[in-house]
Amino acid sequence: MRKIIEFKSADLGYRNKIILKDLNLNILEGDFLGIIGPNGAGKTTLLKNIMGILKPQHGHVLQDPKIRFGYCMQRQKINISFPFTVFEIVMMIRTKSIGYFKRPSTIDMQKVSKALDIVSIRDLANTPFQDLSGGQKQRALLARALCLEPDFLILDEPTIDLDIKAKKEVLELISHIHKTKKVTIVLVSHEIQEVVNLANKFLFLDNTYNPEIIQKKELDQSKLSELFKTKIKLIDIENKKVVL
Amino acid sequence: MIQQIFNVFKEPFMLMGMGGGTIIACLCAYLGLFVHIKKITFISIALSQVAALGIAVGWFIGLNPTLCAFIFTMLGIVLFWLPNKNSKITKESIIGFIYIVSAALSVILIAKNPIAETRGLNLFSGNLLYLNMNDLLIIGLAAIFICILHIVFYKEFIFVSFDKETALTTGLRANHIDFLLYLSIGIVISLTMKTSGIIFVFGSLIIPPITALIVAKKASRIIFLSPIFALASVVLGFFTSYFFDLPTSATVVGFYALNFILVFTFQSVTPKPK
Repeated sequence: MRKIIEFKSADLGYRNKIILKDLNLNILEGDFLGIIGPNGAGKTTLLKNIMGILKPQHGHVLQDPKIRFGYCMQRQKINISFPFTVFEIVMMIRTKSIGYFKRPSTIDMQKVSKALDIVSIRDLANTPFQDLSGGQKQRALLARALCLEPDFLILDEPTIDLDIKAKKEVLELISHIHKTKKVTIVLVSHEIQEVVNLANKFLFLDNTYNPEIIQKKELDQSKLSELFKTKIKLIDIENKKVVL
Repeated sequence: MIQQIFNVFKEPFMLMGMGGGTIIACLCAYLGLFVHIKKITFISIALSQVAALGIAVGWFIGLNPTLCAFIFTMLGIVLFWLPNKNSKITKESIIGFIYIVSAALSVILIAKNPIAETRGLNLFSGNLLYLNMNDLLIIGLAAIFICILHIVFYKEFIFVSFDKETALTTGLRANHIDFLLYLSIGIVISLTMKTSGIIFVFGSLIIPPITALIVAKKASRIIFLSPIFALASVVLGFFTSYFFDLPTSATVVGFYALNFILVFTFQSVTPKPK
């Protein structure tokens, strides 16, 4: 598999504070990487470095220049006080491709409709984003990320604060997108249970050890117990892993 | 009564003031939408105060006050636009610091400047009726510039205001576009502060947009409604201030507030469609 992101002895953080030190890891084409860690562990900082909107303080982050990112930000960060419709919000992502002083073309309209189709909310296109349920909002943000036809999808806490039904639906949708669209996915979460059945590689961030990517087959309860410094049980139920 | 209303239009200072006030109010009411989307209400009041300080400094050292307001506002914009890299002091604290220091310095400079006092300089409430042809020309040119800028970059300004982080990931020059947006807000604040005062400029940036937000359910309608609310309040405010001998800027802001209260009350008592 082709290497599309490479961290080489990279220190990540901001001017006064290094959050992740001496990071050495690769993300390969087609990976589904689950990043798990508590608040403040550097998950969002890592994502920003992957996308190149934040530069490492030391070391290098090498990026395949052909990558087209689709970023699905945390739902809570969206300002919902202004009544933009779902269609308007999804169309925003095409701003650069539309170009300055131009209106969206028929192709842009079609791409937005197609993205809404993928996440099954085309009927909500003219609904204000602020009137949607949590699960629908997340689908709208996923549609926005998909609208650029990305080959690398970055999902920042896509299921945070969702009820169990909406959470299950969103996770199934993400899994479906990975299988059908053949995109590389990085999914950030602070809940291990959520990611463990979805991703094929894992990165645990906790500020206390040098993080390394773990393959799904390496993930067992002794490894998890070692990483989280507490006794963790990993049980198989109906071909799915349950973390206790 | 009708004759009295017509008499208002015979007064050149009223026509000049109303014309200038309308342009300023509509520009601010439009730009206020971005202030609302970006959640930078406190930055806009702080910028207004920085512009006021620029005018006070201009009067004090004998330089063109509008030019000084422009320079000070541009410095303020750069300061507010730059990301805060000091984790110990929040951006809100810095904004608060700049606001209060600018206000205090303005008071000191005006108190120590007899010229400013004799010319009736009132940075707080301004005086739209003192507007002259030069002021009107500057405001008109600024309005044309802002209109062109926003016609060209409208959708980019919307995207960057709504979600700058995602805009950056698409390869859009989001930081530059963000700066242009701040620049357009700063230009309007600095060039209109001398004649309009903080109350009028800040009131126009904040109240008409939130009034429009209550009424309209679509972003495209809000963008037109906000300046319309501002325009209506300016006309009503000017007439009321003329007939009842009230300070113009404050009266217009009073009508902004009245508009808001009426719309809010009407929306609250009207049953929502199911």
